[in-house]
Amino acid sequence: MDQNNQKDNEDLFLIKEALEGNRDSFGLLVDKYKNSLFNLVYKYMGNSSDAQDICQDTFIKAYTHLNEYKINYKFSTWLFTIAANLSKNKLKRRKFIFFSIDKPIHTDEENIIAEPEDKTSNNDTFMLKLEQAGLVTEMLQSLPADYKIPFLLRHEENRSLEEIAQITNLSVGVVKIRIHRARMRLLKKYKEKL
Amino acid sequence: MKFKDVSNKQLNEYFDGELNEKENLHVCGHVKNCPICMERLELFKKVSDLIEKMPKKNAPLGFTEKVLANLPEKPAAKAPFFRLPALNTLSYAAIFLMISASAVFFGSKHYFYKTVNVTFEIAMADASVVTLAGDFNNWNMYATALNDNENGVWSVTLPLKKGTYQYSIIVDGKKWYPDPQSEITINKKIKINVPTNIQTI
Repeated sequence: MDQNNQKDNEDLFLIKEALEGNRDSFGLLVDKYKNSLFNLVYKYMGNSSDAQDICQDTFIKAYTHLNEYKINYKFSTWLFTIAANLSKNKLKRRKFIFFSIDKPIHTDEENIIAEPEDKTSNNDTFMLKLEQAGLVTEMLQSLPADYKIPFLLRHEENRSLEEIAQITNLSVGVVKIRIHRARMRLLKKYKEKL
Repeated sequence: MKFKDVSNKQLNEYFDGELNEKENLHVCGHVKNCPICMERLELFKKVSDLIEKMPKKNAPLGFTEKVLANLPEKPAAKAPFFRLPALNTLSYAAIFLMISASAVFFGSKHYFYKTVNVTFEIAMADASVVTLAGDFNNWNMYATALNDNENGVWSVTLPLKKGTYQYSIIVDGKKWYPDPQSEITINKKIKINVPTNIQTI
């Protein structure tokens, strides 16, 4: 906890300096968060070039509106909020051109019927194979965009439900349901791949 | 001890550690005796592991430099002069309605300024030329002629803006028949029958 506070204080110090016109301080903030932000956006968008554009725009937007940053949020939470909005907008714009990318969102929970456990004994090798074949990415990309952000924030960033709710501008209850639904869908996909 | 069925929601919450102690015990007890739920929990774990084991992607080399090169001169000192306030959808809907309503209102004002057709009529069987002069044609007695029909009734229809006018019918260029009330207020389509039994000027 203390470590976290120290980290936040360090951010505040850098933000203060950046606001006074010190671009190098902002550069330190970029260095600090670029990898986690890039990783998350990459997994959300599914490709490197979009991720790079969005991350760059996120930092530029953050710098431009730095005076609007509120200290009751973590700086990283604020960054993720900007990135989530930019990513969603980008997907939305793309939807007009390739509207088949996203499947319609089914709001009802699917019934997943358990199957006898016979093929999963050699699990580690199977998982390795899945990874190598890029199937995990495919599974992740099959998730509806609205489910993907909460799920990734939970599993990639280990964020609390409250933080995810702040980032996505949803209620904690909705965040929880979306994470559950994302998991059920992934589970279904996983079974299909088995 | 018998445990009731557990929903997918409860199972997810159990997996995420979001249940209270009592519910936790309940789900835990159920799972031990239910192969289906146990298998599902194992699959939850596998799926989570798969996602978490995906290699982390780092930002490309030179990313920071690129960002710094593209930064504006300095952060905006104040909030921009004009910014849409952060309102919810409902507020925007209300504003939209207000704007539409006022557009309709001011639009109708334009409607009030529209012209209406006013017909001037006079029964004058023995006249040869009947004209009309008034505020609307600068009292030019040659500007607006009336047409006669077979019954000796002369008439003309003019598009006039709503308002109050003075006018007079001029028969044969010498007899003037003004409005009995000396002026007339026009606010809708109207037919004015000018009496001939009044004193001419």
